Amino acid sequence: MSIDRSVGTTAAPLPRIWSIFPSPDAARALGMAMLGLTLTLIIWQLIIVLFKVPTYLVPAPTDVAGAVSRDLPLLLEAAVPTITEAFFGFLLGNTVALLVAVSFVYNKVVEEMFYPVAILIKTIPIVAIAPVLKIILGNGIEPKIVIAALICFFPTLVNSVRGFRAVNPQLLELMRVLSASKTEVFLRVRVYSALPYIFSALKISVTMCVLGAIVGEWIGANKGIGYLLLQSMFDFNAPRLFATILTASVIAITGFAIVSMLEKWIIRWDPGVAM
Amino acid sequence: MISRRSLLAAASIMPLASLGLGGVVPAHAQQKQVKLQLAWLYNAASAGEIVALKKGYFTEKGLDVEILPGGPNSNTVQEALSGVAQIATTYAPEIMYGANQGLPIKTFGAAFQKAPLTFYSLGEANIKTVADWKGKRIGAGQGATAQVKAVLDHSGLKFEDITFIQAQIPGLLQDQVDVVASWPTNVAQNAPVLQHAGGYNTQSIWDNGLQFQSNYYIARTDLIESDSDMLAKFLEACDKGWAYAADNPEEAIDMVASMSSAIEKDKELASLKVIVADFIYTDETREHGFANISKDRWNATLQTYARIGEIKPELTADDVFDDRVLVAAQRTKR
Repeated sequence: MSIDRSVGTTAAPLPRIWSIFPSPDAARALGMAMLGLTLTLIIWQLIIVLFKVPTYLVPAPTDVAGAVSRDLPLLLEAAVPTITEAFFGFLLGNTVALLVAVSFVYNKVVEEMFYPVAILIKTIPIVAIAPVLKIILGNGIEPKIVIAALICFFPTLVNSVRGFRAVNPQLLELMRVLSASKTEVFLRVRVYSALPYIFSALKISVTMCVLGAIVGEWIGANKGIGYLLLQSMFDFNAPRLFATILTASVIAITGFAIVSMLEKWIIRWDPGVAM
Repeated sequence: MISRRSLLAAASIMPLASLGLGGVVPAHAQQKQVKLQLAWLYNAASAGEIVALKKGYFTEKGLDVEILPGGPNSNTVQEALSGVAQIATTYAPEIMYGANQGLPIKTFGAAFQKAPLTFYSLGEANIKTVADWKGKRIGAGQGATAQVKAVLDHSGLKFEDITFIQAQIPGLLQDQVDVVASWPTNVAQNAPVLQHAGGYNTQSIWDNGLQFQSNYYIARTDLIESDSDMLAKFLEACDKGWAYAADNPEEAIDMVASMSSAIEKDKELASLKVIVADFIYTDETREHGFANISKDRWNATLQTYARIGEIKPELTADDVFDDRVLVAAQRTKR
């Protein structure tokens, strides 16, 4: 059995993964964004120069650019462990969240028992729990992955539970009439209704997991973005500090772009919900 | 007598050893695994330990040491307690708070003979003594309020007489505080103050009634009691490492840099020179040897901390310090 999902689809049925900027509108939006960014940088530079703000306090964009070009090998080297930790944390956190969400949707008792636990996990201050995780999991990559995973867990859980439930009742009715099994209902109806919600959550957690990895590195590391941030702060090396912050942002934005592309590639029907 | 089997085993290991460990003494079967948890990142303050690792001084003593970096979120007392590391480095207040909670942790040596914490102010402010702090804005790290209290208490002032602000050197330069705490070992970070046209004044905690030491080696009390021999060997290797770092500071910093890519060698070199000259080697190490700890100083510090209400008054030096490792170790007098 199959259900026509193309109803309401407006875009051309071409592979959409490569068409991030499909319309002139999007190109204009990009242009305007670049203009805004450039203007901000110019104003920032002017303030630094005019008010003679010392570099150790806030570096000018040119200082940061200098630090980026000078320390590029260092920044790239530091990015590798952080990306690795964030990636595995992202996988772990979201996989667990999805499994828990499914169990919640199919078992009311489980949800009643463990939803409060999930909320409790969300409210744990990560900075406070990090040293404990280090003692439990050791000094390697593991505590960093778990911290990144903890941060990813909750948004995905909440959104996917909502998504799995946000099924059109008529569709469920239809499935029942067609005597579909529970598995069929799940794979052919619930997953589709949940995917837009899940992707909204993934977009949040993909940026958060980088933050988690950095917090993880603050409990003890000799490589990674978190380590570089610390050492630069300790040295009052503001240009390199800003260059490292920039690197962390680039990692998060790249992750966001990848998830957005996957979303466009996977969700080809009109989900009918705002994202 | 060497058996045929062990000879064969040795022969099969040798090519591996020459491949992987080129130049380094191969680890013997009886090598003891030891983890050292640092309180901070790899830098000049841990140069002696890193040199001991890189030059194979730990291996010579039969120890297979792994040095773990710390950071601002790292709690080394807890890590030594839980067994994540057998040995950790930490600062005096952490040891006192641990003893105050009855935690089975003690120090057995102190790499830094004097705690470096010093308060800097610009010349124009004309703050010559701690008594001049009255009504001023005092900046320090969040964890340093007890030290500020102790120093104030020594000069007959109260914490309420000042305004405490969490700040670092830039805060002083931006006129957010009148006095700011820093380590004189951070030569490069303090440079804007040291080069200030109007001069600067300093008050160290050491000269103002708080004579504790720093970068203490700590371990669980049961480990100190059961294996002081291993800890003595560890201390001897650190001793040798620091001596080498003192004689070859450039090479020592190269070794530190090989373990942490982000340090700036020139800054760390300047820092190491001050650390070695003023903090690792003092009159007391000349008389008693490396990493020496004085019980009288501990008692005085504990009394001070009890007086300002940070710890309970019944604690003595024996609650925070075990001298058997210092006694057992062959230490350089320098």
